[in-house]
Amino acid sequence: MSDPPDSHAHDLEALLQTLWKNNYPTLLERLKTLRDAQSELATGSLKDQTRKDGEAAAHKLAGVLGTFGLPQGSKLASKIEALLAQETGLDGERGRELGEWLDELEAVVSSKP
Amino acid sequence: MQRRILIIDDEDDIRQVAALSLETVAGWEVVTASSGRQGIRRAQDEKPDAILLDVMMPGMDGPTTFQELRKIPEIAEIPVILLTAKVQGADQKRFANLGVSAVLFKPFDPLTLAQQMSDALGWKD
Repeated sequence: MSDPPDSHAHDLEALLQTLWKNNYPTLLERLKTLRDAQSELATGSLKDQTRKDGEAAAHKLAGVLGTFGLPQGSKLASKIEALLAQETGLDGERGRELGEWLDELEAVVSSKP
Repeated sequence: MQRRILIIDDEDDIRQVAALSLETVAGWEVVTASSGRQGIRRAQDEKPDAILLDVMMPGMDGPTTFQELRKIPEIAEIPVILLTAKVQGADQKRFANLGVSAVLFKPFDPLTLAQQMSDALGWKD
C-alpha cells in the first residue's frame, strides 16, 4: 500500500482487459439468459424458472460490469434484476420495458473493445 | 506490510478481478475459494489476515458462511468484509446485525478496493 494507486493503474488496466476478454463468453451467456426471459415475457409465456434464471444473470451482470469500467451496464442490469424479481405483474408493458433496457445493456457491453 | 486475503465468491470473473486488484495494487497475497464450504476450509488452512466474502452464493450464502466461520475458534477472529450487489434497506440492516467488519458494494473499483479494505479494517500500512 506504499505506492500511489496511479503507479499501478496502467498495469491493472491491461490485466483487466485480458480478464474482460477471457470472461466475455460468460457475459454473452448471461445476456442470452436475459434475452430468453424477455422473449418469453413478450409472448406471455414467461416460465418461473426462466424469470429466476434471468434475475440471477442480471444480478451477476450488475455486480461485474461496473468493475470492468461499465457503470451504466451495472445500472441497467440492476433495473432488469429488480424487474425480474417480481413474481407477479409482469405484463406486456413490462416486457417492452425489459426489451428496451436489454437493448441498451447489449449496446453497452458491445461498446467495450 | 504483506497481507494474505481470502476471497470467497462463486463468480469467476468477480473473484479474478478482486484478486488481480489486491495483488497488483496492494501487493497482497490472495487465496480464493468458490463456495462457502471451500472458503471455510481455506480459512483454516491459510489463516488469512482478512476475508472478502460474497453475499449471494448458491448453497451456503455469505451470511451463513460468516456464522460458520465464527464457530471455529482458530479462525473466529479473522475480520470479514461482505461484498454485495444488494443494497436494499432490509439487507443493510441484516448485514449490520451480523457483526462483520464492513460491507463493500459491487461493482467495486479495482484501483481502490485494497484501500477500501484497509480503511474498513483500520490497516495503516
